[in-house]
This record gives sequence, structure tokens and C-alpha cells, in this order.
Amino acid sequence: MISWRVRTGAAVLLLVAGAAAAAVAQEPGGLDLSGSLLADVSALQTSFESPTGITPGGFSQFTINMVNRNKQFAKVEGTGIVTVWTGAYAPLAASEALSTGLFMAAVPDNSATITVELRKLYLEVFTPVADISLGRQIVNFGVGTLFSPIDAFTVPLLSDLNYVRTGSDVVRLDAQFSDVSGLEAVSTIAGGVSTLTSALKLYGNAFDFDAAGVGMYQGSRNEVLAGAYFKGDVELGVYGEAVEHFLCSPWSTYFEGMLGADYSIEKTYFFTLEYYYNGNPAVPGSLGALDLANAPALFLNQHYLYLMVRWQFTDLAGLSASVIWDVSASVILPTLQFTYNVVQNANLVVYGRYFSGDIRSGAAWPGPDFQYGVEVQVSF
Amino acid sequence: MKTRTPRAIFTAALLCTAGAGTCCAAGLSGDEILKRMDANTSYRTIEYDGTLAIYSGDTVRTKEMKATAMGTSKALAEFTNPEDKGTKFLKIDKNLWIYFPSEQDTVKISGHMLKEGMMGSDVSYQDALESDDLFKKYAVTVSGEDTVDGRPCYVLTLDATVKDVQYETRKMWVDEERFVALKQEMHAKSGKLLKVSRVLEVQQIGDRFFPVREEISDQLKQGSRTQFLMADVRLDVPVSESMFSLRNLGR
Repeated sequence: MISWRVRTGAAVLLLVAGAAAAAVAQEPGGLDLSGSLLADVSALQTSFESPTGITPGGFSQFTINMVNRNKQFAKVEGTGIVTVWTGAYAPLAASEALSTGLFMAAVPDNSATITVELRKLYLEVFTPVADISLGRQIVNFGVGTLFSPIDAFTVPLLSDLNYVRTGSDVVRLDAQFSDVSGLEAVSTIAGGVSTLTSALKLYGNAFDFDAAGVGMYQGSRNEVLAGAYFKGDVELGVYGEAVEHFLCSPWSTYFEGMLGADYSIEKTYFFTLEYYYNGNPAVPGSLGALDLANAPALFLNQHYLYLMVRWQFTDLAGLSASVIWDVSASVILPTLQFTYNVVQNANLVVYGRYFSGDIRSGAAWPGPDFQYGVEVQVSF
Repeated sequence: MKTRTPRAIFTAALLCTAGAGTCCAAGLSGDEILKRMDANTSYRTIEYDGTLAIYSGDTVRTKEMKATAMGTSKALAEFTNPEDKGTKFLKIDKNLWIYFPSEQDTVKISGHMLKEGMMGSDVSYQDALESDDLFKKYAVTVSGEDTVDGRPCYVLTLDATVKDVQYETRKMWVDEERFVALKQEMHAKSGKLLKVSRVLEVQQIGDRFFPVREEISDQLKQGSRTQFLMADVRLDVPVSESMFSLRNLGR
């Protein structure tokens, strides 16, 4: 038996944006297609003490990107990802798809799961005053690599090695005052105020620093947010975000912030360090899947650190080590990655991860302790 | 619009021109040689299809792009090869941003990232940010004559006059007939050789001689070199100034 989960909003957007794509495709130039194929073979292990508890898994992923060539008046851009999950990953992918609303099909014995993600599909119209876009798109509102409290529209996928961000169904307007300053307005496409998230961002560049002020409303929590960010260079790269939350009922306030820095030595060693403070930590203890899905932030405890060190020992090969550390709950998520550009447009990645607990909440981790594997990605 | 020295992205450190000469050789001062170079390679705008061939030992990786620049201060490059398709660079004065299409993210390049090789090449982001201000930072002398690839050249030495420079000294071999810098060496304050660039092909465009294939090698990276090829070069074509904006970067 095959079960299907369809997110209604995404389906509507698919139809709207698909029609727009077809219209634009009739213009001279047509569509530009690109994509990648990714094969992952890996294993999950419950603990070092019980090596028999190793479960093989893996996935094969096909990503297709499209954008119209003639972008004089408008742009239609889309990214679709089809993934076949096997072994230990199949039931995990099915469970995650159920909570996130992805298209999903699973074979009865859970030995394989197919997920279809529409990461981006939007129409953007260029007018003399502003660029207006509608549809599923990735809204990067902040400057943080991993922690970005100012970004209410998208969060990084912790299951992804590179912490990629997912798309949101939004309408967006970007009006520029100069080459480097402007006003951006974003709102989710929602059925009512209670599910609406809307934001305004005024951004600019002064003294070689990028900076912005942000105002936001989140209907699901009936709260107003005011924040700011900056990014610049003082010997090392520095950046930060600050957000004050004003909850309306009952009235309360709290602060979220992040500070980051990056640096390199001899063009070979690269360092990134980020600190995140959450003034509204979750009650310690285990949280259910629904609690996590509806949580006010991706990371729920008070203090977090993220450190990434990369050793680029040749133009083609590099080794990186990163760790997300929940300081309050003493939970860590370290990742080690070796990347090698095997041939033109093809990369080999060997990786390993350790989960000492749920990095989001600090609770005990229900899944395996270790994950390690090999990936090959080919772009076309 | 005033005609400016070319400083298109990726070629920032290579197409060296103006300066303040003090000595004389073969009848021309350093100043005069650089003015001749300047006249030869100046433009208001430029468009071209670029190819980066990045060599690491015997291995080569190529990256393709379409680039547009206006004077010395504004440049936009969009990569078209499969791995980097849609990735764009925007340079406005001393600021540099990258747009990543997969993440729809615009990132300001600052701090350590400025020292990285652009797209893995031997040209750093700092090289790309250099403008003709560079030549206000060096004193130039004509230190002799030499030949490069069989062509007679003036040899110029540029010494930094301010602290805020990437390379303390530069040595430049300028073609005596075509006034193109055929070779350049860039040194650290300690005298250590950091980078070497060579022009491999010069094309006559109208009445100018334009370097269209160059090689730069980072001397700190063993076996590493990058060749940069400019094809379909169009000079002084109409270009909208609005294309050099953050708004346009995401389009």
C-alpha cells in the first residue's frame, strides 16, 4: 500500500507557478535547466559498545533546477528534489515527511521511502519601483551561518551535512533606494492572521558594513519582533543579530541574539565561530515531535556555540570539522567531513557524525548515536 | 563618462596601469610607460565571456562566466558552468557580495573569505577588490629592459608608498611595442614572491592591444596556477548602471 501526503498550499502554488513558468517558457530563450545526482551509502550505529547495532542505510537524490533565460521583465525559478531513502533512513524519512508535509510514498515494509520536495518555485516580476515575487522561495533574512534568530521564515535542516535551508510560501517585495540599500517586505501566504508571518527590513551599507533593521509579526504566537543585524570586517569578519520579542497575550518580552566571527590562516585554515543566546528557553526535558514542530525557535535552550574549522590542503581536497554545542544541556553534534573533487563537476564526501542528545532541546536522543557514510555528487 | 583603467573582476591585479614614475630608460619615464599602457587598455565598459582553468598539478578544473564591468569600481560576473551555475559576484567600490542561487542567499565577502581564492582559483577576492587606487599607493621606477617570450620589455619596479597594500613591491615587464604588461611578480614585505602573472595571448581590438589570456600562480600553493581567458570581448558597449546593485544580484 502506498500512502500519499499532499500539502494543499504547495499544490496550489505548484499550479500557479507552473502556469507562470509555461507562459514565460514561450518567450525567446526558454528555460535553463541544471541539476545534480547524489548517492549516499551510510550506516547508523546505536553505540560503540554494541557494534552489532549497525544498520545500513542510504539515499539517492535527484535535484532539478530551472530558470527562464529571458529575465528582462520576470523570472520563474524552481528547484525540485526527489529522494529515494533506503534501509535505516526509510522510516526516518517517512516520519519527517509526515511532520513537514512533504510528498511521500512508502512501501509497506518501510524498506524504502520516496520523498518529493518542492524547495523553490516562484514567479518574480521586475517593476521600476520594486521586484515582487510570489511562491515558494528561500528567504534569508539574517546573516548567521547556523544561528539566525532574525530569520522567521526558514531554518537550516540539521539532518543535512551543510545545513541547507528550506523554502517558504511567501509574497515578497524588494524596493531599493540605492545600489546597496532598500526596503524588503515579506509575508507568508496564510489563511488568516493567526497563521500569518510578516516582516519589513530596511537595509543598507555604511563604512563597509552591511546593516539592517527588522520589524516582524508572527500570528501563530501573537507576537511582534524588533531586531537588527550587521556584518563587516575588523581584521576578522564579524557579524551579529539581535531580536527583542514582544508577546501580546499574555504580555511578556524576551531577547534572542547571536554573534559570529570568521578568520583564516595562510589561506589554508578557515575558522567560523557563532554564539547564540535564547532568552526564552524551553522547559528542560523531552519534547514530542509536535512540540518541536511548533517550537518558537530551532534551538530551544539558552546558550549554544557553533564552531567550524576547515583545512583546505589542496585546491581539490579539504577536511572540515564542526560542532554544535548546547552549552546548557551539554549536548553536542560534531561532524567530520572530507571532500574531494574527483573529476570536473563530481565531488566525493566522506563523513561522520555523533549525536549525544537532541541538539534542539537537549533531551535524550531517540535515534542512533553515530552516522557515517560516503556520498558522491555529480552536477550537470 | 571619463575613460577609466580596466579593473574587471579577476583581472584586477593583472592589468596594471597608472602610477607616478620617477626614472627614465630608453627615452620613456615610468610615468610615460604607464600612461601608454593606460591608453591602450582603458574603457568605459566591458563585457566578455570568461573561462577560468584552475590547475592543481596535472589536474585541471574549468569554470565559465559572463562578466560585465563599468570603469574600475563596478563589476558583475555570473558563473555558467554546471557546478556553479547562477552564482554571481557583485563588486561596488571596495565591497564584494556573492549570490548563491541554491540558497537564494546574498553574502557579503569580508574577513577571512577575502583571502580565499575565488572559486578555488589563484586569484583571491582581495585581488578582485583592487582598483586603480592601487597605483596611488606605489612609486614606479624603470629598472631596465628585458625580453619576455622574445618581445623586448621595459622592466618597472613598483614600491608601496602606503601601508594598506597586499603586495609591498611589484615588478612588471611591459611590452615596448604594444604597451601590455606581459609579466608581473608580486612580493611580500619580506621580499618573498607571492604571485606571478603572465600574459599568454594579446588580441588587437580596434587600435588597442588587449590581454585576453593570462596565467596567475600563487607561489604559496605548490603546483597551482590559474589561466584566465577572455572571449568575445566587447569594449565601451552600452551598459545600464542599475545592473550593478544588490537588487539585480538576486535576479
